[in-house]
Amino acid sequence: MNILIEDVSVTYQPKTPFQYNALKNITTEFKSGQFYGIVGQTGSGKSTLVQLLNGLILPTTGIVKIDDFELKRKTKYKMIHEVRKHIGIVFQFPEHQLFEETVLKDVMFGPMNMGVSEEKAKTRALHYLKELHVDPALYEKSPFDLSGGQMRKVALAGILAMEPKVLILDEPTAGLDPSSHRETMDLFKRLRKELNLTIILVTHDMNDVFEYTDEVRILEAGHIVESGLTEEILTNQAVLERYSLNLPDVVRLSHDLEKKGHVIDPIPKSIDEFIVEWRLRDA
Amino acid sequence: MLSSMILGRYIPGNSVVHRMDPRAKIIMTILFMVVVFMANNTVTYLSLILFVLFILVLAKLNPIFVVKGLKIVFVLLIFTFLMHLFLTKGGTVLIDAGWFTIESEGIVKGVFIGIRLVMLVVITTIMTLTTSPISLTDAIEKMAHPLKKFKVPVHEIAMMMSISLRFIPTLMDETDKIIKAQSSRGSTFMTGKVKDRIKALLPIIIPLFVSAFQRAEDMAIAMEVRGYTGGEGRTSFRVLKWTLKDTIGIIVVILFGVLVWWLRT
Amino acid sequence: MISLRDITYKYHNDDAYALNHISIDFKRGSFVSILGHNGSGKSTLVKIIMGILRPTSGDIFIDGKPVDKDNPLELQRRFSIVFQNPDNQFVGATVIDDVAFGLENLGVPHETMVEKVESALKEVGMWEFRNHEPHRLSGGQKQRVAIAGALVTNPDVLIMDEATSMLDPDGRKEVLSILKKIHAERDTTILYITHDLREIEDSDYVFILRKGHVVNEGTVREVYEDTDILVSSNLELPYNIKLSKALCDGAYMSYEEVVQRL
Repeated sequence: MNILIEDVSVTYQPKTPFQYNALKNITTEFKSGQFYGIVGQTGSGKSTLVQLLNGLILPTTGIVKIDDFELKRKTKYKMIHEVRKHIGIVFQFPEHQLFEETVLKDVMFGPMNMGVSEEKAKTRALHYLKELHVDPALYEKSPFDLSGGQMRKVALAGILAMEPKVLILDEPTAGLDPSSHRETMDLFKRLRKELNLTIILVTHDMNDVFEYTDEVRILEAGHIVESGLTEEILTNQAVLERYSLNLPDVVRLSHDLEKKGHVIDPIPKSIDEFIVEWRLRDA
Repeated sequence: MLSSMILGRYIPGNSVVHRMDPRAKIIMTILFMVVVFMANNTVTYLSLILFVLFILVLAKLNPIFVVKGLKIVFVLLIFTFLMHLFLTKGGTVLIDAGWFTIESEGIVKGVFIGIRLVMLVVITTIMTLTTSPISLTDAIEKMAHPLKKFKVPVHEIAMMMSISLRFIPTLMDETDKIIKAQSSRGSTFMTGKVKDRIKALLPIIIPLFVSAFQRAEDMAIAMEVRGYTGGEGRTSFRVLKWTLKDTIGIIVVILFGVLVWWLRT
Repeated sequence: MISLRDITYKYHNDDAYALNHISIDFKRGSFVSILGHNGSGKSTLVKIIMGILRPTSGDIFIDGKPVDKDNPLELQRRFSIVFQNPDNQFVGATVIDDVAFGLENLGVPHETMVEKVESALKEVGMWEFRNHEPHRLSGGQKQRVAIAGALVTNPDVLIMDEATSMLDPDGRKEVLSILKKIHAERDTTILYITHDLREIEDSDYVFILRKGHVVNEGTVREVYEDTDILVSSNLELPYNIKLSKALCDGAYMSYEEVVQRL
C-alpha cells in the first residue's frame, strides 16, 4: 500500500484564540513494504501526522492518498472505516485500550468490527497471541489480571489480528524491560518480511530507528525538515544536532573511532553488530 | 462545534474584570441577572445590551468571538422566539393564515425574551471567561464558610471541586486517546441503532473508568504522603483580596439597576 | 543519618517475601540509587519508607533514634517523594498552588509560604510558569514542579520513585540536571529509584535489588564491574559496558576509555 501525503496542513480549533497549526504544508510519501522512522521533539507534529494516515484526523487542507482511497477535509465516515481496515495503529501504552471480559475476546474485537466472521477472528486471535508468546493459560482470563508486559502483548495482538497492510507504531516499547524491548522490535522486523508490511515507527529511541528503519522523516514545528535514507540522515551529526536529536550510540562510537584513524564502513546497525564485526576484524 | 464552544471556559487575561475579586464577580453577576428581569421596554432592553457591551470592552473580550461561541444556545433562542411569535397575541395582526396568526405583540415579546436569554448567558459567560475555575471555587468556599456551623464539609467539597476541575482536561485527553485507539480498531460510535451505539460506548467507558480509578488511587497516595489530613489545621495559600474596584463594581451594577427601574414602564 | 535496618515485608496473599532483610544507610547529602526491575521490590520499599506500608519486621532510624511507625506523619515530614506518573500527583490547579500544597497541610503561615514557594520554584527553574495549569506543561516540567513541591517542606530525603520513566529524553535530561544541581547546592539526601543503568552515573552509592534482595552494592564503578549480576537482574547494560565487556577483557571502562582502547 502506497501512501502519498500532498500539501497537507492541519489546524486545530481554527478561528479561535486557541488556534494551533499542528502541520504546515506537508508533502511526503510512504512506500509499500518499507520501514520508516518518524522522529522529532514532543509537539513537533509526529502524532498528528500518523493520525492523518487512518483518518483519525482529517487534513484541514490537502489530500492523503492511500492507494485508491482519498482522505480530505470532508471525507465521509464510510470511506474512513474502509481505510482503517488496512492501516493499524498501535498507540503509546496500548494496554490502556483493553476492555473485554477475556483476552481472546479483546483480540477478536478489531477483526470483528472490520466484518471478519467470529470463527475467522478467533483463528486469527489465536495465531497472533501465539506469535507474541502469550501463555495460552491466559486466553480466557480478564485482561486486567495480567502484568503490564503481558497486557502490552495482548493489545499488540489485537491490532495484528486485524491484519493491516500498514502498521503504525507510536513508541511501542515505552516502559518495557530490555529483553521485551528487543523481542518486540525483532517481531516487527520479522512480521514486515513475512507479511510484506509497511511499518511507520514513531519514537525517541534513535538506536531503534538506526537499527530497524530504511528511511527517516524528521519533524520540527509542523514541518518535515529532513527526509531520506536512515543511514544518511542518522549518521549526519550536524543535522541531528540542529533538531536536538541524539546520535545513535553505534554511530557516535564509529565516528569517534574514525577520528582515531579506523575505517568503519558501513557503520554497523547496532552495538551488538559492531562487537561481532570488531571481533572479526581482530581475528 | 465543540472546539468553538466557550461555555464554562476560561481565557487568562489581565483586564480590570480579570483582576476583580471572584466573590465580587459572583455578586455582580447575580445582581445583573435581577436587573435583566426588571427590563420591560425598548429603552431598558437597549440599556442592558449597552451595559453588557461595556463590560465586554472592559474585559477585553471580542463580542463577535463571544457570540460565535454561544452557538449552542441559539437553538434554545430560536425555539423561545418562535414560541412567542405564534402564541403571544395582541397589537396589530400582521399575518393571518387562518389557522394561525402572527401579531405585532408576538414579535416584540419574542425579541425581548430572546435578548433576556442572551444577556443571561453572556453575563455568566463573561464571568467564567474572566475567572479561573479555581478562583471561583475559592470564592464559593469563602462565601459558603458560614455553612460550616451547620456541619457542612465546606473545605472538603471545595477540595473535591478543585481536584475535579484540575482533572477535567486530563480526562478529556484520555477520552480522546481511547476513542482514537478504539476507532482504529474499527469501533463505530456514529452509526447504527441506539442500542448498538450504547453498546459501542463500552470500549470507551471501561478503559476510562479503569484509568480514572488508577489516577484516583495514585492521587490519594500522593496527597497522603504530602501530609494531607483534611481541612483541620490547614492554612491557605490563596487569599482573596477585596479592593476598591470590587466595591465600585458592585455599586455600578446597583446604580444601573436603579436606572433600569426608573426607565421601565 | 537515616538508616533502614533489616527491613522485611511480606504481602499477606503472597508466600514469598517482597523484601528480605534490607539494610540501607543514607548519609546526609548523599546521592543514593536503587536499581531494580519490575518485581524487584523497589516500590514496596518506597511504600515502607513513606509510611504507606508497615514493615513485617525491621526499623527505620533517624540519627540513631527509631521512627514511630504508627505515626506516618513523622516519616512524611522527613521524606518527600516524586512519583512516576507526572499527572497523577499534581494536586493544585496551577503550578504555584501545587507547590504550596505540602505547606498548606503543615499549616505554614501565608507570608512564609509565599517566600518558600517562590524560592522552591526558582530552584527548579519553573517560576515563570507559576500560573500555568498542569495540562499546559510538558512531562519534564510537571516533574520539576513535583520536585519543587517535595523540596518546599525541606525534607531530609528526597525520593525519586521512577520519576523519569514516563518522560521523553529531553524531560529526562531536565530532571536529571535539576537533581544534580540540588545535590550540589543542598544537603538533602537524594534516593533515586530506577531501572535504567544510564541514570545512575552521578550517584555516590548504588544498590541493586532483585526479588527483594540486595544482590550488589557499592560505588557506580563497583556495581558496573559485575555485569553478570546486572544482566541477571534484567537491567539494560549501557553500551560502554557492553563494549568493554566484549572487547576490552571484561574490565569496566568509561566510554572515553573504550574509544581509547579500541
